[in-house]
Amino acid sequence: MIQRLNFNYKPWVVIAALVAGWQWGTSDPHLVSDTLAPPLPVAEAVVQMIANGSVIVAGAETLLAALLGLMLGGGIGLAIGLVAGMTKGVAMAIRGPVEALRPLPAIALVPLMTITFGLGLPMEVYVVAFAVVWPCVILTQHAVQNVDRRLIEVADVLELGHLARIPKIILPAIWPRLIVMLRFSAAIALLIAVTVELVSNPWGLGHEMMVAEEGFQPAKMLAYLVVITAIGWGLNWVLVSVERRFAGFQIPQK
Amino acid sequence: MSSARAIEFDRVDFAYGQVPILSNLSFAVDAGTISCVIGPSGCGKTTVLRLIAGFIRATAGEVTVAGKARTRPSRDVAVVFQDYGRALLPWRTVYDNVSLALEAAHVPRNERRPKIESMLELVGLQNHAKKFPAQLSGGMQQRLQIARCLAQEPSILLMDEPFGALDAMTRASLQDELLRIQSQRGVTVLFVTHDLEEALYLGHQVVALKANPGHLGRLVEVGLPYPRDQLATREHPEFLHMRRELFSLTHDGHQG
Repeated sequence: MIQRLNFNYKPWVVIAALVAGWQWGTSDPHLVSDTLAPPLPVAEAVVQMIANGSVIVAGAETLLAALLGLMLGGGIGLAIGLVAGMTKGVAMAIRGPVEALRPLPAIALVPLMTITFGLGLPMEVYVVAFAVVWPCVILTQHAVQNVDRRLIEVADVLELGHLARIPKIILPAIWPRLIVMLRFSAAIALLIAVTVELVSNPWGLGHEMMVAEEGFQPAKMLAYLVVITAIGWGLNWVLVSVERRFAGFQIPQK
Repeated sequence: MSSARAIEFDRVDFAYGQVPILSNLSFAVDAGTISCVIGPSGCGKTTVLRLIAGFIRATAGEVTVAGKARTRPSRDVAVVFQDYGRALLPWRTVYDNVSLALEAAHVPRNERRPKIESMLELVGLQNHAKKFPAQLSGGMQQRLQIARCLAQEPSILLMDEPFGALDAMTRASLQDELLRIQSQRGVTVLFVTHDLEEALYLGHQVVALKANPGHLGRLVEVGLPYPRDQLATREHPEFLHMRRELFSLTHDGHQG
């Protein structure tokens, strides 16, 4: 019997086919495009941008804004969600405001944030934080409300105060859900950061991509797209690894 | 006499909304004794326990613990739940599960170790300190929950059908361990069970409830001598006599 390959090659076949199709569709010398470039020049552009460091700087700027926004929005969302999950009164009080503000697209805040904070890192961080805070509030609150009632009774009998029961009972009990929430929010954070840069902020990968587009450099523009995809993929990979490593407390079964 | 009363129910009513659960229930538990609450399903046995624990409040009448009206849970009344799997922290080891009670009581870190070790020894888990609850058998998990409850140094130990989910052998050995621990530590025990023989075997007193809504059927002093013995006590004429007396009160699927 032939031993089965552990490596799952099938997705790569699809990717290779797509790249081949891309090459075939764009290699017609009669076809001149301002938006499309064949894969080879795109790959060259990626290598060149890495070599001269420009993509590293832009990528670091985008990631910085996304991560700061994630920390700010995630932190505030976690705190509000914990309090709302543990206190019925708070849950009732925030329900209306959360439902009113949540549907507001974060990107629509860019003009307001620009007037208030000017262009630059803080504005982008705040918009990212606004986008991230709502899912974090709702997911944390639901996770806390779903903690086994028995554990809450154990905490009540032991007279554990709110501050003590958060690290001892609540956080460990909702930990697997928090990791999923982090993964979910990180994707939103990157999406919003790049979008803010595309729309207005003169900084990061999104902005460089706009510059390339406006300068009729389709290869460079697509190269940035490849890099953004790679960063999104890398970020997800890191968080999936974190999830695998820490989500289950590694409790050995009998 | 009243100073020795650990728990007292005075004409207690309890209802969930419009549904009456307990009606005009009065009884008392003396400090340092074991009282067993029995009765058919739906007679409000667990409600009695939850009133003493302070999870719920009487609709009418008064529940007092050590002479004080019961309004909310407190550390000096420990609760051993039937579903030990839900009451233990799965992310903490055996040792750290016991530690939780000491952390809650603000026992300084350096004083915890000897207390935890003596608790684990008391319930026979000293060689399993580093295991997680999921790695223990049901009987061991229930022992661990009892250890954690004793570590909070309660004056009253409430037990809600604690051995109901265990096999007969494990149940018998845990019954004897409970009797030994109770006599060593002098803690007042209120033990809810649907098993009449278990109630007679363990208790100084049996509180037999009737259903619809729950009310007092019989309050019986068990005159059997301690220490009790799984064979001798269960064959004692007094035991058999009371079993016959109370049998009709607990038509709950016990065919004898």
